[in-house]
Amino acid sequence: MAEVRERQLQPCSSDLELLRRYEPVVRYTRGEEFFPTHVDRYVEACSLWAHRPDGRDEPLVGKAGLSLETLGQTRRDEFGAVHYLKLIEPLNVAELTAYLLEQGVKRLRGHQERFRAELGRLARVGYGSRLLAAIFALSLLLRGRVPGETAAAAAITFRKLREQDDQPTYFGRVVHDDGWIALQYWFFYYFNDWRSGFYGVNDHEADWEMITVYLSHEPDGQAVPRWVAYASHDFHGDDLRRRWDDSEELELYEGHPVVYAGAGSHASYFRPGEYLTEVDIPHLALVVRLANAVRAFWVRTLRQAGADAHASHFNTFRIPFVDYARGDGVRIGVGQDRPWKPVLLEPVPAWVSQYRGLWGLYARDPLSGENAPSGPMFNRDGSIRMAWYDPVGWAGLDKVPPPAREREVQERRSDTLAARQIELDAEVAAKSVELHQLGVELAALRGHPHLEARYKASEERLRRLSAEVGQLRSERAHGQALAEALGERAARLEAGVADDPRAHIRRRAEPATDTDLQSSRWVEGWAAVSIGLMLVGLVCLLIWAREYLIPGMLAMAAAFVCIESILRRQVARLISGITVALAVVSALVLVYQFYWQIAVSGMMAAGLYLTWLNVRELRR
Amino acid sequence: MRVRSEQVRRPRAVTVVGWLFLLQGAVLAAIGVAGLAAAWLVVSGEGLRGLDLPATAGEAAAQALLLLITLGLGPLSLIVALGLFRIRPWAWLMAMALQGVSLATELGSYLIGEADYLAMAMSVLIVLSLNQQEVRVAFEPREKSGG
Repeated sequence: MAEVRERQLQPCSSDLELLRRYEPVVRYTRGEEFFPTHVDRYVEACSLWAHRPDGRDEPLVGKAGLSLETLGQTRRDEFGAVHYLKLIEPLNVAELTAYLLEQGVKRLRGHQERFRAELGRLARVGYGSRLLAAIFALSLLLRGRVPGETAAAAAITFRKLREQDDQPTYFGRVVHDDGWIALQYWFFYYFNDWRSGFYGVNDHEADWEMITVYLSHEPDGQAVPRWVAYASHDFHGDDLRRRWDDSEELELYEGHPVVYAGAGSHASYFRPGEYLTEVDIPHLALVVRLANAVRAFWVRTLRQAGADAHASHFNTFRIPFVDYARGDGVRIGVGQDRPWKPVLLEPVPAWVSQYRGLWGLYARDPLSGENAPSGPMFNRDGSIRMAWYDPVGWAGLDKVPPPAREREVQERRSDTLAARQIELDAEVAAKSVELHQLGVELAALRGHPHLEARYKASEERLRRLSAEVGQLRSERAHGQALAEALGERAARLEAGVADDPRAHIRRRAEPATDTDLQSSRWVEGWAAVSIGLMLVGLVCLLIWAREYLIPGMLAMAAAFVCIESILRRQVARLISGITVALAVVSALVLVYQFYWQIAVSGMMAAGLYLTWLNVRELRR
Repeated sequence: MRVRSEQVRRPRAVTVVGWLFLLQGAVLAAIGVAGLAAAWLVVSGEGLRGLDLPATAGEAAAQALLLLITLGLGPLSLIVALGLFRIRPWAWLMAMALQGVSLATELGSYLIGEADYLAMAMSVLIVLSLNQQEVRVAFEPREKSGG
């Protein structure tokens, strides 16, 4: 069997040996153009620029003068300036034509390496999401973006590089922190062509991706792999992490974690598949909140089914994109098509620690999706990445003691708790005595008008003390329950029963199921053209039948929905949806017409109900 | 094969809606039969005092169509009621479809100023009852357990 889950390591391994032992196997999707590479040739092919707050772009170092050494030199600049590298120069017509011809020939020949989307993203979601996707696509014309032919130019440049040096590279870093050894693997790509190559969200020059393997120090000096975390889109903390022995979630190949890289995006996934990801639109936050409130009222208060039973797993107010991480293309790593060349980031080179700028074109995209990323150490704004300064906390592992310390930590927690319980016992006993004394004092003071002031003061003290004792008793009860839970877990661990490996995960990326992907070509075709047709229909109405605009739009929307339901074989769902919508409209009409009568009837009903309750109580 | 489990517990809302459909079916059937009798009297030439006869052939055709629909809806409502009592998924869908038609008609009448608010309220209540989470669960098709 290929999987080895309990590989152990002899002490005194060097950092490089450790990195090599657990270096990942990365599987790409067929059609992927860019693979992890060294940064030296990339930087040498780049020029360094500064974008000034007044909008000017100024060259700092020309192409011939840039190297990793010069990139690592400290550069001062004014507030608001953005430093960035620029790799791609516009292709000339001949180069672009040659590239497009090559791609066309590949398509015609049904080239094996060619990417096929199969079921398109738009066929996987409803009209609302499709409309937003259309708006998002149109917005690219207005906001900053990477020019169209840049991906082609980057692909040509990368191919030239591969002719000189074809070995994939990762940059490794080993961090010892709080009983954990974090092995970080950083991957550098020339280009992210998710949008232009795979119908995704964005394109940008340069791409940095990372995964981390966490080993625990064992008492006998060995280091054992326990967890692994993959950076992936908008996932954070615990959700990034999988346990090494969780064979359903984490695939291992001869003791190496397997990463499925998203086509073009290079985001890392634990399982192969097609992931529907969502992009938030910040300006729609209010609409999303309102829609969520209405949905909550519909589902929780009215206990209606429609809003959740038929809702897709994805929010209507987010733009859907598919990240294809099929793993059916090039494979890199131990025992794969191509092996790794590791480069240790120790000591940290100046190009990592001193260059805070972007590693590719600054496209001036306010949403940042089209701007190049910063290096492994920095965020786009120049602040240090959490993954760099706190690799353990980055994956939410800071609260998890290494297994060797687990028992000790558990015992220490139990001891602290036991000590506190003893303290609480003593405190409760002492304060109870005081409380009794106050009670007696108050009883004695009653009936003596001249001692009223003293009575009131004692009464106040008693009230406060009683609340304090109540709080202490509550803490003691909770402490008792916690002690029992800790004892139970200790017994479980003693018996060799591990915790649930997935208990920490709140949200995880799920690949589309076979059922999700079952859809006819008609549905796909319709999904692709429907929004465009709707806009064309709207324009036709505006030109030729403006007086029938509203009924025309309604009829068109109804026709589109009917066509889609028939194509998707969801006529029953359509019928119930329309009926519920009509019921909601009718209910609003009734409320509008009879709001006073409804309010009076409601109050009458409430009054009668209360009377009935009280009378029933009297009869008992 | 998809079959209905006889063990599914019938939600109370379904019982109420079932009785309403039964009542509606009975009323529609009675109206239909009365209309049929009146039409027979008119056609046979015996006539009825005080009965408004259709002025034109078009009006007569419209009334005949309405009579046919009423005659059809009566038994249909009865069948739906029985299906609802027996928790059949097709009955749920038919009930929703009937209420959809009814609501569309009532909203149309409201727009032309001839609203029937009582019927509208009844339909709203029936739809909201049929769309309750437990009702939807009860009517979902289930896979036959093996064995």
